[in-house]
Amino acid sequence: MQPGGDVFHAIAEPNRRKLLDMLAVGDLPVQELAGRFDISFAAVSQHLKVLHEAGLVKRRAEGRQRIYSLAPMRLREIDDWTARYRRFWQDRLKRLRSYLDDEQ
Amino acid sequence: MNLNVLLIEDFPHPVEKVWRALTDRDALRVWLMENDFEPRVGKRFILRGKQVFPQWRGWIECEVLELETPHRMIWSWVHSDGDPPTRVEFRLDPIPEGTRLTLSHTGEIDPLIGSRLREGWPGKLADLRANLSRPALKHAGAAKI
Repeated sequence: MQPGGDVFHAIAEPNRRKLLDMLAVGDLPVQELAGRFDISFAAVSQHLKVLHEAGLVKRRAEGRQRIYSLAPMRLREIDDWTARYRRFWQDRLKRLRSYLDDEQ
Repeated sequence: MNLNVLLIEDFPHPVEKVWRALTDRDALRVWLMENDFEPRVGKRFILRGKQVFPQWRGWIECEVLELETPHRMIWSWVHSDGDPPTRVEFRLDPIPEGTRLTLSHTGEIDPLIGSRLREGWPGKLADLRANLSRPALKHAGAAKI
């Protein structure tokens, strides 16, 4: 399976997007993340696992706690989607400009 | 994931002239893609790429959703089979120097097709660059990258 596919699957789920939003503010231990959701600890843990496998979050151990943090490089790849279409249209509008300038 | 592109460009030409370039099949062929466009609401048309890339079928399915001559036009835009349609809007406003074009391309990208598109577009852009640098490209004049 392509890592890229994992990323898009990972961010498709609203709770996982919410987790990413929380981690965007700062690193958090899993307990604290779970405490902010109505869903079960196990479910939050499962979502974190998916995010981790997609390379979107990193985790480290501090004492008995597992701390999660954002891995921004992967998120930047997703951003490329909009960036590619932006470049596409920018190029096309340059051609439009040339076309108009050449028209009588 | 949201697709959200917004571009604003000013052209030193009257609105009617820019509108013609957006809604004339031959003009679209020069600056956008090979097509069978017609300027009427409900018209389904195809934008065709120069070649089919491994990850892309080679054409985009569009439909004219709204048309308000000569100010506003909205297309639906389906890049690959099974994609949810995205939306392309062209808006023209008269300004003292000529015409302001506001182009937006928005939509929800289906996460499952995301990776396919990510593979397909680099090839498409390479093709685009090759075309732009080809001097024989008719009408495109001084188009640069």
